Amino acid sequence: MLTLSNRAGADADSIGARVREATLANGLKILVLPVTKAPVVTLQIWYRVGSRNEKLGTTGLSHLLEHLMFKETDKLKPEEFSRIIQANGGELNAFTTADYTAYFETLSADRLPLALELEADRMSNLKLREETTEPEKRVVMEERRLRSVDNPWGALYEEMNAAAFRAHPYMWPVIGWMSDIQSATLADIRDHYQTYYRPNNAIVVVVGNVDPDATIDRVRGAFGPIAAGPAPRPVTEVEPPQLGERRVIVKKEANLPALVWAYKVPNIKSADSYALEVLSTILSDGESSRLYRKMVIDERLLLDVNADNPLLSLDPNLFTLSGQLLPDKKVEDVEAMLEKEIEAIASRPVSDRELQKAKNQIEAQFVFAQDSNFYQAMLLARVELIGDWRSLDGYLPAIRKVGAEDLRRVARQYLVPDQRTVGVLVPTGPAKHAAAPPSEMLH
Amino acid sequence: MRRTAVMAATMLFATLSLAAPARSRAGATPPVERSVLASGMRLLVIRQPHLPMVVVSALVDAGSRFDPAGKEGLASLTADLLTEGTEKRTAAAIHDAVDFLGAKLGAAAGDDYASLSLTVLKKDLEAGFDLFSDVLLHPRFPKGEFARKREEALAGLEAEEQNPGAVAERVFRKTLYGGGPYRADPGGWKETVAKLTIADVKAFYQAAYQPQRAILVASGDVTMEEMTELADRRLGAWKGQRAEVKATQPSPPPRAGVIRVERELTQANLVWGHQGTTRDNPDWYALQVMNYILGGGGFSSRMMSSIRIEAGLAYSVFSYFVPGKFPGSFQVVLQTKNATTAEALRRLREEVERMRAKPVSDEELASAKRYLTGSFPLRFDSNAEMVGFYSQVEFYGLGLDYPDRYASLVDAVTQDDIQRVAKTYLRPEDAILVIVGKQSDIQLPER
Repeated sequence: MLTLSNRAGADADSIGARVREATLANGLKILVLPVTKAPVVTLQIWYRVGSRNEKLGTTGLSHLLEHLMFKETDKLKPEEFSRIIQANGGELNAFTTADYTAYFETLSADRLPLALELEADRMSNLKLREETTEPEKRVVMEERRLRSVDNPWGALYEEMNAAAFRAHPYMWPVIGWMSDIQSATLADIRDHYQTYYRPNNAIVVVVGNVDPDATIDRVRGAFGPIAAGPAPRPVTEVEPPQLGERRVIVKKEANLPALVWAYKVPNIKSADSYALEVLSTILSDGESSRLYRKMVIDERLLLDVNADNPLLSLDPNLFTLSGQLLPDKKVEDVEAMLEKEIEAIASRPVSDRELQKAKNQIEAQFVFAQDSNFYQAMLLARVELIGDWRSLDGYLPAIRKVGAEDLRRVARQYLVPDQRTVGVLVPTGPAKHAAAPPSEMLH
Repeated sequence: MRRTAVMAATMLFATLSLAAPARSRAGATPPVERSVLASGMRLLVIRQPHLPMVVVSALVDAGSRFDPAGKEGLASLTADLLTEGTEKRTAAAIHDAVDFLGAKLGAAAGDDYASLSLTVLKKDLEAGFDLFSDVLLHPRFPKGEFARKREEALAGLEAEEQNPGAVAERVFRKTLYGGGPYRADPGGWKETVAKLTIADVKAFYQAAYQPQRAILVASGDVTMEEMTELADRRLGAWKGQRAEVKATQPSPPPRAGVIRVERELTQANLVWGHQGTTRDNPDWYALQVMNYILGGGGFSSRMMSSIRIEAGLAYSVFSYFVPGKFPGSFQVVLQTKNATTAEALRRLREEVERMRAKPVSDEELASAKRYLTGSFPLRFDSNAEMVGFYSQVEFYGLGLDYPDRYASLVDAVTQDDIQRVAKTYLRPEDAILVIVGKQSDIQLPER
């Protein structure tokens, strides 16, 4: 059994051999991956800007601008972008994180030129006016209420990040603080747009049923005329070493307590990140994983448990262990057991079989991930953002090299109490159970 | 780099996804084959050889619509327990075997049906299908695992109390459906789940999990011959029982009214709606086009234009008809800060009234049709979506030629059809409004 490896086949192991790359004179990076299974295509455009490029006082600008990118340009009326794509049978959306802002259209492959024209248009011709920005600020404030203010998990993560980081912009939420959203000025937004929405700060990724050469020509035709801008100011903030455990308590109306442990770890630029990747799999991936088996099945302390390794974060970020407690369980008991499990990893080598199981899981997921055009495009872009998309092909070989001793070493080095930020959600009394018959008549 | 890590929780989307669009387009029909096995089970195979993986699902007509009164949550708990021990394997042995293959195996119940799904590398299909068929045919429902899964189900319902949208939906269902089949979310209610027994689960399994009630669908690097051979070998012994399952009868629709649920929140979470219709209603396609224009079409919808784009009152607002074997619901869902509840509701009702009163424009109609038909192939982006799509095509009896027919079904819809279905299926006078939020801060519009 121990020699049973999950190698699915050379083709599924290597994505890089099938990717075509080009860089335009204005600095725009283009990646094309042909996939012929269906007559559809995903276009994604990734800008190297997120909340890590912001400042306190104007947090949330990247996300607000993402919303405003669906407003007017010199050629288009507000929201016409979306209506045109949808009326061409396409789907579209955008998302913002701490590290990047990405826009995508998924549509019939023959409509790709249309999507390219529209994306090129809003890269340089966006019109920003009070009449459209003010209602959109209110929309984003509603979004903040939905995701953070009225959401116990959202509130807990915000507080935890704010405690874990002192110097680095990962300290504030991607959506921004409420007062910053409210006070964002047209000048701030325009400046953000002009600084970051430049071809030399973007990556175009096309995955689907397309001819790579013709596609690169099309992208060049659409984006080639756009002038490059000055290189944006790099993010220079480095989080200073943590000198001891930090702990935040969030009290909110809720029904179950929740706990997050967060450790500062390196990203994919460090060889240790692969061992951490395997470690997070061993801890919480699947029902036979250590934390799931011990804490959810055997001891019944938690409703669920999740370990997350920030492998592709642009700057070093947080390795988190999180879970919701079952009713009447104590946070102290959960913490004691987590401590014991981490100690076990740090002191005793995992068995060959357990190590192989984790690698099998990672390798299978790498293949499953290629089942979706959208997801493949996203992987290519995220690896390119942090370095070079070619290193995607190095992922599985690096995972295969991880040994039991590596797991012990990274657990000892990174998963230590002094480097930990703990977030605890303390329910201030359960949300009342809803019932009640119709209490008023509407008409 | 693993699936969950990439789709990070910190990712903020410009809008919530469009409410389930329906679709079709010539030339995009996937290569699907169908057969009926000796046991009466139907088998559909979609060959997708581009990646060395396979997704297999068994849809079983064992959804929560069969939950007896007082046992809401039974179908869901039964599905949850399939993978928690068989006659020859313990729960731990199943979990370990699945994880060692790097596979995913899980079951869940929805309103109409339950599904058991396996995602596995092609090279492990034999081993994976062995586990799949074992849990489908020979679940043991051990006492310890039953107690654990019921406790988890109860805790899950407790966690749901923290989600105002889920609370609003639960109260809406309970009010709309009365004693009818969709009265509870498949997860059930705390008071009924607490009383479920192993005997209930075993009896439900015996009655509902039968080959003639099952549809096996596989998509991936696999052929009809391979799947037939596997199914004959592993599932051939599955015999139907005589037992019968019956859904409770639909209740008459309730009176219109407002239900307020008190929560310490800054937003009012609203569900507004009334009874909808069944999936097999011939008006289904006209309803899809109408709803796209009204509130289903994301940034192209009238409700989004009025409530979000024009007034900035909500991040998300959408409407939809829930399909079902029995009449589902029509609902509009939105959240807005307490102070703007009345204004958002006024705009919501205004759009419903306008849809009933005036024909949609030529341009609106054409755009809606182009979206619905043009986005059809996007349904097949992955093997999992392919399996989900064809499971439903077979379950609701739409026919394997459905992808070919879809465009003409949608294109045939006229402005008159839209007027007619708007007047028939939008009934503001029957609407139930559920508001979860801080009631002292929430005013309703005057009428």
